[in-house]
Formats: sequence, C-alpha cells, structure tokens
Amino acid sequence: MDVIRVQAEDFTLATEYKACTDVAGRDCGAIATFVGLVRQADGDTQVTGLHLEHYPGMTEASIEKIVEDARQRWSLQHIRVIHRIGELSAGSQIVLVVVASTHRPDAFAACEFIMDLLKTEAVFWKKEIRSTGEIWIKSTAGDYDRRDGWENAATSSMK
Amino acid sequence: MKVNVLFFASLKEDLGVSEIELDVSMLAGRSELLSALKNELGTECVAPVLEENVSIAINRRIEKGDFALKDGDEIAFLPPITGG
Repeated sequence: MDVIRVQAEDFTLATEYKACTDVAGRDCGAIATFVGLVRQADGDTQVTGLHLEHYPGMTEASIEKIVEDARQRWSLQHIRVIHRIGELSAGSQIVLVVVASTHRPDAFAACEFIMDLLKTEAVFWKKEIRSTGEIWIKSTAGDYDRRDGWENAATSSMK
Repeated sequence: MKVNVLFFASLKEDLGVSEIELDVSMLAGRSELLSALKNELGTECVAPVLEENVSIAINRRIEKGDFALKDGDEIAFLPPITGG
C-alpha cells in the first residue's frame, strides 16, 4: 500500500525510509529518495519563506494519479509521497518522494517522474515570500518540457 | 438551486473571498454560472476568474468543456497549480 500524505508538519527522512524498508519486501534492492527544500534565494532575490495552499480531496487525488501513472510505467514495490502545506520558512523541507524497487533504474526513474509531475499536475499553490514582496509561483516552461518528455517517452515506447 | 463556489490562492486574494453560495437554475452551464458570479461579485471583480489559465473543477474534477450543474455541486476556480 503506497502512502500519500499532505500535512503541515515536517517529516523525517530516516523515519520514512525505515517505513519503506518495512513494507518493500525481500526482493527490494533499491530505494531512491528525494527531498525538496524552500530555496533561501532566487538568484539575487532573498526568499524568506513559502506559503503553500491545497484543495483537500482534489490535491490528494492528483498525487494518487501521479503515483498510479508511475506504477504503470515501472516495476515498483512501494511509494511514499509527503507534501507539506502552510507557512514554510526558507530552508524548510517541502516534499519527500521515496520509491522502492528491485533494481535501481526503476527507482531512480520513478522518483524523478513523480517529482516532475508534482510540479505541473499536483493541485498546490505556492506563494514565495521575498524581500521584495510576495509572488505566486507558476510552473516554468522547463517544468512543462520535463512533463512532456515523459509523455513522449511513453508514446515512443508504445510504438 | 444552490451551488457552492470556492476560490483558491491568487483568486481568493483578488476577490477577497474564499467561498460563496450561488443560486442558479437546475442544469446551469458555464455561461449561466459566470453570469451568476458577475451578479454576485460585480463584473469588474470577477475578471480574474475569467482568465484563460483559470480552471474550473466541479466536485473536484476539472471540467474543460461545458457542464450541467446539480443542486449542492461544489465548484472550484483554480489558478495555475504547481507543487513539488
């Protein structure tokens, strides 16, 4: 059973890693983890924090869809996604992705895929609190390129 | 009939409200919903909601085309999303 949590509280990588190893199974040979942080600066602009909003129910469903898509593409034993909401200060942890698989290629690829899709498909809104003011963050052209890259990869592998 | 309308993030800030109840007719579609919204909030105030990059979700599902509302539906106006 995969784990998806949207929470204000911080998370501990060691705890989540242990929880993953507890359920991943005996043929688990690879666990990839990713932690996203609130940047303390964006170029020359000082960032003091991030305000994260979500839409209860719809946000969790959007993450479930990403996790299901990952499972369709790779052979995975366990997935954990934790995404924080609320007021986060610079340097705080925002997001955790843990993926367990038998071999490393699937774990690496699925972890990257989930993070890329969270950027464009997960129902969150992020407002960056900067020294110069506040700004709602949007997905970048690079974020969409990375998402489209996965779509193109899926299409070409089906040919 | 009554439907509940939610606004998130920048829309909530622009409109100064996160949730309103609207009275619309049974099976009201996109244009009637937006008209009801204009009547409730004022034509100028509602402009951010009509931006091309704003999505509409009915009962937590994005609806790209037209729709037919039912009593008690939850409608959400979603500005561009980004997580991670």
